[in-house]
Amino acid sequence: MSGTVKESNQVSGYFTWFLVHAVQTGIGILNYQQKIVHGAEQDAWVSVLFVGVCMHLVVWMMFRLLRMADGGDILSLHRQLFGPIAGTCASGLLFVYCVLFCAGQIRQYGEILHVWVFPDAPLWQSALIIFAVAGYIVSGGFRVITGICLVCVLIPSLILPTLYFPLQYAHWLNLLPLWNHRLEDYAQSAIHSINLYLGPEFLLFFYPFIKNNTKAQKWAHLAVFHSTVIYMVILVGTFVYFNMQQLRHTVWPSLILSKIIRYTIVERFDYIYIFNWLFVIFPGCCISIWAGARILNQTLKLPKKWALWVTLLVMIVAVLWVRSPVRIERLENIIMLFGGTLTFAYIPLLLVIASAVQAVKRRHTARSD
Amino acid sequence: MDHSDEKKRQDGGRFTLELARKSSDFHEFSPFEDDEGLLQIAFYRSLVSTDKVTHFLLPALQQHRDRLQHPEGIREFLPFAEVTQTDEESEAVTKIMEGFVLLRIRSAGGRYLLANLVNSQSGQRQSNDTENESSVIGPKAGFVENLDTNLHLLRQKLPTPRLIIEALTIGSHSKTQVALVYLEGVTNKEYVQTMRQRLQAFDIEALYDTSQLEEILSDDSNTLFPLFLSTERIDRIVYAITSGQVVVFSNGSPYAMAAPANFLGFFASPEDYYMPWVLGSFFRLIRLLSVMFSIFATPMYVAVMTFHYEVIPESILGPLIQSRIHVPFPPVVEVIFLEITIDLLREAGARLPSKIGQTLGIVGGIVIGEASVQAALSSNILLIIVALSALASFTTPNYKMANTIRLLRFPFVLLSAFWGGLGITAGFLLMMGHLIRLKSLGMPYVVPLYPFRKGNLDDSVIRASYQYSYHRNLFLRPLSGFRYRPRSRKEDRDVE
Repeated sequence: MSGTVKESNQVSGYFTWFLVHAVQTGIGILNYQQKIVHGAEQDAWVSVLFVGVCMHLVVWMMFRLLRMADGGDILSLHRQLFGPIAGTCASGLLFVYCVLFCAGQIRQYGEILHVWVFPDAPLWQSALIIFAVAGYIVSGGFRVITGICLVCVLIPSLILPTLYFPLQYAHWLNLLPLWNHRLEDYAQSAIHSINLYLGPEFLLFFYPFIKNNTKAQKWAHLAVFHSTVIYMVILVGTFVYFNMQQLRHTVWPSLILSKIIRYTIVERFDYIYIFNWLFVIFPGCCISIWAGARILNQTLKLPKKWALWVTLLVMIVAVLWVRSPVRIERLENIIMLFGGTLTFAYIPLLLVIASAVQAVKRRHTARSD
Repeated sequence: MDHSDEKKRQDGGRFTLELARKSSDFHEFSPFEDDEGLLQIAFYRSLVSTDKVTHFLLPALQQHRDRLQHPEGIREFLPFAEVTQTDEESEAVTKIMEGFVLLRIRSAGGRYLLANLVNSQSGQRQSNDTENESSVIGPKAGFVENLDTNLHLLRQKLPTPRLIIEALTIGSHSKTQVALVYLEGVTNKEYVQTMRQRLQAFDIEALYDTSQLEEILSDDSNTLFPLFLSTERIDRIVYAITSGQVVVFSNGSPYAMAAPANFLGFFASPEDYYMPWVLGSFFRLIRLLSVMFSIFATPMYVAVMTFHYEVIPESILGPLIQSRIHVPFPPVVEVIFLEITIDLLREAGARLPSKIGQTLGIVGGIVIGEASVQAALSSNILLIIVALSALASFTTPNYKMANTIRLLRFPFVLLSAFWGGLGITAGFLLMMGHLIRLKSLGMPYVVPLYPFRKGNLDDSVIRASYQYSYHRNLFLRPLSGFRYRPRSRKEDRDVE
């Protein structure tokens, strides 16, 4: 089977934690507060928590699903369930998702660089440098990507304690009144927080690269829990610092929040946040590039090197395609729609289909016996 | 053309006495003229101890003059430990090249008797101080250019039959003796086997130094980072052998090379083990911090002064701008000018005779630094940063790693000049990706950090107390993980 992976290319089970968590956290943390506040306002944290719990369910479903695949990943599962042609088409849609995911991260990061740091630098320069580094790392294979994920979780974690500074100016009453919204409001906030939680679905690709992968489920759950806690902490920190009217008109609340941090040798701490955020978005970019290249390699049988080049090229074109902030907004919505459908509709559906097929097969073999 | 070259080289492998006679230091004579040249003696004057020839060989032959008809007869009375016999002319010449004396009896035809009278000790330097890796405490003796002496020094430190020394010969012309050393029952056989294979597989004309092997044998020869640890310190090598690394010596080189090496190992100094563990750990941390400082200090200066001066508070920005106000260049030119100056001083200091070198370094440094500020070629503050980062880069105990650290800042300076903080971050990610990619003899380079080995952190970033670090570094996959029995806590109470 083409899905089997050499043991020297596999990583230990606990790296699932870093992989899933690092891919999940991304550019969304900088502006999700402003997006979700439109529905449930100060109660939006309930929606964030709810989506987090749903994500645990999705992780559970993914592990059930992957256990049924012959090759251990979704590409082999597609072939197994839908046959070679329809399976390739389904995997092709996943390639589109990889491109969208990566382009979403890098394009939004490019926008922040443009607005905050380099107003004159063209987008293609920052996109090129990020893609060049990501391409080098992806060409090193999955173990290198995992190592980078570890680095990219540990280093940004160092700046998390700086949240203490805005908490000095906290108005805890901002969180009140509790639960005074309608269900539609919560739903609206929940839909807008989907983007935050996207990422664990890449487990469908790298599952065979994990040693003892059936036992890795607890690490994946820990990763989702870790992300949920971080989102909740930042969200509460934002809510007690800004009032609702202010928050609605703040594009990147996390960065504004970091602006009040001040040391004797560093005046504008938001710059450190912005450059640190490259570490946060980087694992997502690497994994989606890797997954895209793997789709091309496995379905179209492109050589690995060419698959990587083609994926990088498509992604660069996708990033440069999105020129105006309005288009970025549209791209975000497309990712939300695509990712939400993939996570909360397609994976359950696939689980139902796969279970049904397995049940039929089992009955068939039982009868023939 | 390649084929004829290859053939010529192979022919070069067959030696004749005719070839040897072309050299002026090849000496061939018959000691007893009245025998009509029955016995012939031949050797290279430059290889053989002539004292031994006149004081032992010739008197012995004189004494047993009646038994000179057969090689076997001569062999019985020769007072030397190593005497061999061969029928092959080529083999005989090879032996002569190793310092043997050839004895040939005309009547016995093509039979050669060879006695080892090699003179290996002369021409070596007398002092074996560790000049390049000096330490305040701990042994000061290091390796020298002679393989036998080096192995002797090693055996003195580790007098155990488990210490295995394998001999190989490398170099089609230099015929350098190379020794592969490991500890039986500790070193993983796979590493020994890999090293042996790599040593046997490559072909080279002449081997000048062990360090040369480093690039040839390494897993990735296009990297800046040294993948094998080479050192002239005996204690460092003893530590490497006992912790399960394979060590390679080569004749004519005072450097021994240990493999597989990991990144953090290059920042461990033997001195760390001779100081209380708190101090040892502190100095090791200082060294790692100074590496970070030395790589990132000047790129950050360039990034801040070119793009992000908002980051600097007003109170510091004033002096910074003031010190730079007369400098006509952009920060990157200023930085590169000063960094190159430091590298010039370092390179000149390394090439000049040590007595002149030091004086010139200090005077040159002060004069150039002071004058360049007055001539408005650079700012005061940058001068301090550059000097500090140069100082920081010299704290690395391993010379090769120190050079790598010195070189690394240049790409970072360029990246920060183009893309500011983004360039530094992207460069850092690139460097991390590269480090994670590297392997030494198949072992990941950044172990025990990635892949993470919790049990081996006690001797990595810090040096934990001997009480706790009684296990070998398991990432070296030693055959026995247990080093020694730590002093048990019960025995501590010896008051009664």
